[in-house]
Amino acid sequence: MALSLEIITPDGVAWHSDNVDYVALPTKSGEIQVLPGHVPLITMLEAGSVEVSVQGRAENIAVDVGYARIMGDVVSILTEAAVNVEQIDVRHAEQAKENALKAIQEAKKNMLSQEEIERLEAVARFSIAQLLAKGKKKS
Amino acid sequence: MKGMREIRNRIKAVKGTGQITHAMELVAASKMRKAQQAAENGRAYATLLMDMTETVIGHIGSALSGKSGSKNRTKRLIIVFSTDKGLCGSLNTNLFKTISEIGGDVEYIAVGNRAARFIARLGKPLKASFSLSDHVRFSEVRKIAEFAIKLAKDQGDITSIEVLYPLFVNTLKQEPTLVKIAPVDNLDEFVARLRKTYKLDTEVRPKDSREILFEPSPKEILDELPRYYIKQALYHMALDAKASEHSARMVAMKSASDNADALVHSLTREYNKARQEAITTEIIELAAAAQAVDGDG
Repeated sequence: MALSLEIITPDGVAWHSDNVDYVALPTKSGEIQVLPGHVPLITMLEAGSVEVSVQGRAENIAVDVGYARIMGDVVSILTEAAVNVEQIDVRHAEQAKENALKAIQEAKKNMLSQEEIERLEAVARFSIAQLLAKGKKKS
Repeated sequence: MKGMREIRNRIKAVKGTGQITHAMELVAASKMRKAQQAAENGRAYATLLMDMTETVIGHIGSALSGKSGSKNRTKRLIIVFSTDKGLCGSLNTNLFKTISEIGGDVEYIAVGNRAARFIARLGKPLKASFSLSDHVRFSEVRKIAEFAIKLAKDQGDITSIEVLYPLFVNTLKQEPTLVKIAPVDNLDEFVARLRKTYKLDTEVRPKDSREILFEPSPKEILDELPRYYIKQALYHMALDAKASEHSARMVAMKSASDNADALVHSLTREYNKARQEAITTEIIELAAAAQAVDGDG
């Protein structure tokens, strides 16, 4: 018996498969691993990496904060952004992270507008999540 | 040869303008469809969000503790969705009419620089101004939502966050609509609204009869949910506003192209008349000259 995993963002279904062996989720209370037959659960996710194994092949997907629902062997993840690790260019994410962090520092110094800080923090958070996910894949 | 060359030049100019407006009409039509498609893509998210909320509410009974009600909160925060560019008929004008009718203690966040300029001209307090690209992504809307939520939290004197946007009724009709998106003191209301917008009736929840667990706790899950609702609602409204903008532009450009066609038609008639007149004059002159020569002989 296999699990189904769907990762849903406001822009659409970001990832879907019905042949999942297991899923590891970065929840607020620590990482949990979900195997078929898991008890029904609704949990909150931290920004991080979702590890999923499809027919023996592991994949990592970077997700932002959100929720996960496990019910009847269907894992549904509700998050505001998700990127498959295959598509992440590490250099790009690294650069984005650095730029954002630098800009946040400067913004705090120069009292940049609140909205700008808000935006940059979101960029930084998500690019860090992407890097984490990619790093995990390599190791 | 009265003004024949001028008429010819005008016909050429009007034809050129007509071609441009026609192209803009087609572009707007395709962008409108894209915005509608994006709204449709959000259905899965809305369904899941709604489903989870119902599960949590169903488990702990109450739908959220109303935290609002403190008396020193007097201000309303209104997010206005306008366009960046013009040439979209009366879309912005209608929005601005609504803004001028809103009285009381209101602060604004403008999306699209038309609204920013208008609000600034009126001398109303403008807290921030954002711009959206033509193909709105969720991340663009998220920063607006997060900014508004943070502003309301920091200032402490804001009673509600509302959104004013052109509701897409159909391609010919867009209605300025004011909707309250925060505070979310009743999630049931929001669930009902989502159900209505996406016309969700059938339950697609996977079946599982075992007792459900909540981590860290149902209360904590429920407390965070309103943020997701606010952002989801704002994203949906942004897409709706985009669809409205493009459909308004499409209609405006269509009527501009039609006007150009009509103008070319009447100018061509004028041109032909002038040409005929010129020919007639020439013949008369020839005939007169011939007669004069005959008379001499």
